[in-house]
Amino acid sequence: MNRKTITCKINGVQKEFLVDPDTRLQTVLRDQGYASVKFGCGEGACGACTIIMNGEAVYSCILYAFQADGQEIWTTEGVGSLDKPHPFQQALVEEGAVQCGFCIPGMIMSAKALLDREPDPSEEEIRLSMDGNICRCTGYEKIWTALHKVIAQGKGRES
Amino acid sequence: MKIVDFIIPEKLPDARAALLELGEKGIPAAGCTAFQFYADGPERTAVLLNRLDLAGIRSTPEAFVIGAGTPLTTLHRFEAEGWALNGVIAQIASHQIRNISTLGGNIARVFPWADLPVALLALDGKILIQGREPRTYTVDQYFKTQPATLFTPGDLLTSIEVTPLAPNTGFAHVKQRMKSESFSMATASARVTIKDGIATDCRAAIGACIPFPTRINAIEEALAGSDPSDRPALDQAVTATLKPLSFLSKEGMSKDYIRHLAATTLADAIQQAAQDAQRRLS
Repeated sequence: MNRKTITCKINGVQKEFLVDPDTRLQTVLRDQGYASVKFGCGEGACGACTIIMNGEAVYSCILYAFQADGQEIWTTEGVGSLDKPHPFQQALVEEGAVQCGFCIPGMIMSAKALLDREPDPSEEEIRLSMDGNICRCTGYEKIWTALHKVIAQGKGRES
Repeated sequence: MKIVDFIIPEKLPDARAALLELGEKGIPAAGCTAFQFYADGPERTAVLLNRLDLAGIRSTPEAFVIGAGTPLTTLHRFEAEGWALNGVIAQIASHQIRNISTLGGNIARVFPWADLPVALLALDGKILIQGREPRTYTVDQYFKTQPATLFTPGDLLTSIEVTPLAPNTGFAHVKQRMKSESFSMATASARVTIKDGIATDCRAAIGACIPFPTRINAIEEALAGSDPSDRPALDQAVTATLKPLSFLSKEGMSKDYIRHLAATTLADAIQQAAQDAQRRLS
């Protein structure tokens, strides 16, 4: 196995990692302390590991780490803070939309990617942009309400 | 398949040279989303193609020229007169997969459930492979058998040309799934040209329900000169033309059920394509 160095920018900070060719990006991110990047299905179906790479939401569990070389990555650690949460994070709290919470970082990344691109999306755009995130608590309605609240308030592009 | 090494070339000749040298031990890699389906395969060195400038869509009067490395999301967001792939892409997998999967990856090796081979067979177009010499295949030639067999080490799929829809032509892509992200049980695409309510030309293809996607030439011939809004006649013609085909049993359903599902799906696609043509005319 030929371990090689890759470089990428994570949450605005330049990073360098030594990776095995077969290692998935989700594993590398977890190992580096980005605990928001959950391991769910491991086969690109549940959305718990969703990150933003070059502005688009992607599943980190099916990406090889080497695919991140030279790319710009955002995880939930880089989105908002306790003092200044992202409007969608704030709305999730206000709506009581977080049950077990396992899916929430992935939901946040998919929603952020959508809102950064289109702060006032159509229902069809919302559905298509969130269709890769599953909530096993089935708490979709409140997550949906929170997302619509951010859009209605015109806060989609705040971060 | 276990990835034991990776190479990230910056230019197409470098990528081709690497793949030529690696031979069977090399594999072109872009989105890599399909690699998990080869989990038990042999060791391979991935040659990442993402930096080769193979992504993007260019319009010419004859065709939309699409780079093989174009992510499916780009195809979904693209807008132009005569462009028809938006509705196909919206039905593929999930947003995160569409963001990383590429058109080339979807058609370089055809999986039974793949959408784009069916859609491209109906839309018509050309596939360009860069090898020792550039080679161009019509979609009918390219999808005649598993296209992976057309590639020798060092060959790369570089672009796909899709024929734009004429103003009196419509297109539809219909697929049947158990759940929104499930693989298709039956997929059908149709391109129908209408004049005075009568179909003058048609291309139709099915996939997922049969071992390999194929055009249904018999329904194309049967439809010419008929009114596609006559659903009983359309159903009868579709059922008759699918009779010689051998269908797969899927998701615990019998071959006969899948045959019936395929016939309904194909008739839906033809009828929706005809309605799309009428809408584009009005």
